[in-house]
Amino acid sequence: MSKGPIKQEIESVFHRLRSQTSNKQCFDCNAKNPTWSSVTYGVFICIDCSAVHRNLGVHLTFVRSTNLDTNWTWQQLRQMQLGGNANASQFFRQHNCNTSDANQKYNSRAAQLYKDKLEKVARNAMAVHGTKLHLDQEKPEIETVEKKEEDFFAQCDEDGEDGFTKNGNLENNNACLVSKVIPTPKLQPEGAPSVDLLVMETPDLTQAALKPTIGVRKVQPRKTTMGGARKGGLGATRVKTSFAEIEEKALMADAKEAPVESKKPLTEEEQLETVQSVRLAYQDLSLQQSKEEQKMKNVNPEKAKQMERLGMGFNVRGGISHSATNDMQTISQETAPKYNSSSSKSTLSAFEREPASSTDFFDDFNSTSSMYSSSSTKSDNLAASLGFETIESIMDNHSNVTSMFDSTPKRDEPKKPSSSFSASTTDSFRRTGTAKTASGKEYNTYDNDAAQKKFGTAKGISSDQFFGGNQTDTNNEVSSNLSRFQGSNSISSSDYFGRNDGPANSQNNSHSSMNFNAPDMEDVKESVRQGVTKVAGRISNLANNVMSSIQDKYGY
Amino acid sequence: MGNAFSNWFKNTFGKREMRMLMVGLDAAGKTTILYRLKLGETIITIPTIGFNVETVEYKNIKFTVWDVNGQDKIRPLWRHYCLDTEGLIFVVDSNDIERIDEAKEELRRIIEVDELKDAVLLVFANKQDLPNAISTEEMTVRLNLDSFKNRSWKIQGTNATTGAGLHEGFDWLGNQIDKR
Repeated sequence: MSKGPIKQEIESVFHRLRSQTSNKQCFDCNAKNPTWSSVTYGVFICIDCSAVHRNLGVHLTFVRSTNLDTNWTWQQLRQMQLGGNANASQFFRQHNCNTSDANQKYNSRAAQLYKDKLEKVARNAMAVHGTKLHLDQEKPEIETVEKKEEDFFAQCDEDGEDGFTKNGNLENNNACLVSKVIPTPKLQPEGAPSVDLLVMETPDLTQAALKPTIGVRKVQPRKTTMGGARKGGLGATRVKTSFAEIEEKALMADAKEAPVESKKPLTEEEQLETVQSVRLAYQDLSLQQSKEEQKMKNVNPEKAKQMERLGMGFNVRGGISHSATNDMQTISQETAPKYNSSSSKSTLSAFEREPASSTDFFDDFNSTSSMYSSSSTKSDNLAASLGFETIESIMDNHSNVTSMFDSTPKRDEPKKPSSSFSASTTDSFRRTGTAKTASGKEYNTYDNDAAQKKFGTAKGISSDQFFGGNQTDTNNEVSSNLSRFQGSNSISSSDYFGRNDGPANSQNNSHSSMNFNAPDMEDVKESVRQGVTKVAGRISNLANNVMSSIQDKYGY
Repeated sequence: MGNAFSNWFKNTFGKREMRMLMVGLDAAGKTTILYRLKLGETIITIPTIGFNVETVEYKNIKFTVWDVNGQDKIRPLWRHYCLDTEGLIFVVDSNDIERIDEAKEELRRIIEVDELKDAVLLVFANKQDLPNAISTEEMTVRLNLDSFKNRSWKIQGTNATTGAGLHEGFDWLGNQIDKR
């Protein structure tokens, strides 16, 4: 489903959705005819409330316009279809979340539950219906497709809503499930009063029923035996929902466990325990992986311990079952803010010490890696794009934590030994909880520490710094370059990074940035440059003073 | 050095103007940034329909900042704001990891517009305060900034609600205009 729905499809979906009475009021403030929506919760909101939602951040609620946004994905549309204001408000009511304060409301556990639930339901609907749509799209021409889709959406709306409202009640859903599940193709003769419908739709629907993976079909017989025979209303049309319902039941089972799990994050120790236990469970695999990685990278064998941790990073990301990753997710989402806040406060953290032996570092790293891995499990896309985290040693006495992001996986592997520009002992680590590679370029290890310090602490990176050497080579004459660097010296280093560092430090920084990509030039011109940068730095300082005094005088 | 001195004179005695275009995906924080700069306070913004334009004076430089709608229906219109633009501010939500690739595409698309071939690029990696925000280094990689070799660019981590990082970015812009 790489292709998203086309414009007309989106319009028809929302036309239908907006015509429901419950969706004619803003979910938060009851304003009339909302045109914005929170995809996360599948609710319609007004533009004013969308502002509030957008302020909360996309990790809590993702706002889209129902008429200005045209690149909706199927998954998002499904969430809107299966959600709706009525379902959401009922769910919130049932979970005693009656606050009107948006911040509280969407940070609550009910919101979290509903979010996860809706996402799963929508994903299941995607698995069942999405493929069918796709198949249909390829056979006939576009117009017929659209008509069929409207039908389908209508069904999906009704079914989705029925199922949802009934199953919103966690305890009572068994009966509902049974009644929903019955209308499998076998039972149709018994329970299908309207034969016309069947005749019309059966070919497609049996196809649709056959399409899903075997796993889905396996579930059906079990349900039917459980349920006994009761009537299903619409026969074949219901088949589609039966899948959703089955999945939903599985989801309910999850949800029953979920409260236990989601209470966990309240205590920090437990979080760490779970993280570690998961990690231990996958240790064997991780060891293997780490060994392979080790060979690839030609890392010192003494650092095998660290490689184990590295392996965990891999495993946590790649090899964990769905439920386990769910654990990770709940944990880390609580962990992340804590970690950030505490780390931003701390002036001395584990990362300042030699991380090889310190257990603090280990713990911290675990939490950070879990943070990343969990966020990477958020979506399949993400897992692929976020990549993995490794611990490896680059310098003799520094073991660096590097997270390589394989949004460029090809680049990643071959260049790993040389391209790992990492920042383990820097402030950025404390602040963001992890260090990242800046690019796949080759950086000379000579300046590695300085470079780490530089980009590690950087809240901003400019092209001057990034391509420092190149610009000296290519762009302009020497003098203008010097003034450039002098400018970036006084601005970038003293203003951006090292407020507390003296001018000497900033000169070092700029020095390293100039050498960044040009090891050869560095050899030749080092001494010259040092002198020049010093002089230039002083002059610029002096000039700045003059300028500021003039500015003060004339009030510019 | 003479170049530098002349710059200081310009700095001191001339008010310069710079026309900026601020784009980015919806809900990246463009309007918040604009009014943070303009008013010095954080306002709760509703989604921009159309555009906002404000002149912001910062360190002797008059920035005319165009803040345009980020909804994707409007994005094809961005190019029409590009005329005479000396600098492009691209705002990206660091917390919205799922849409970074989309942001990258939009950035690539607008940066290729002919009117912007001389424009400097300032990327605000906004919402750094949020829990899942990725750092500027990672954002550099994810946005493929290293492919812009013939353009001066800068990425700056910001938090528009507190204003952190904004001034550093505009310092850099001012610095860039000095070099012209």
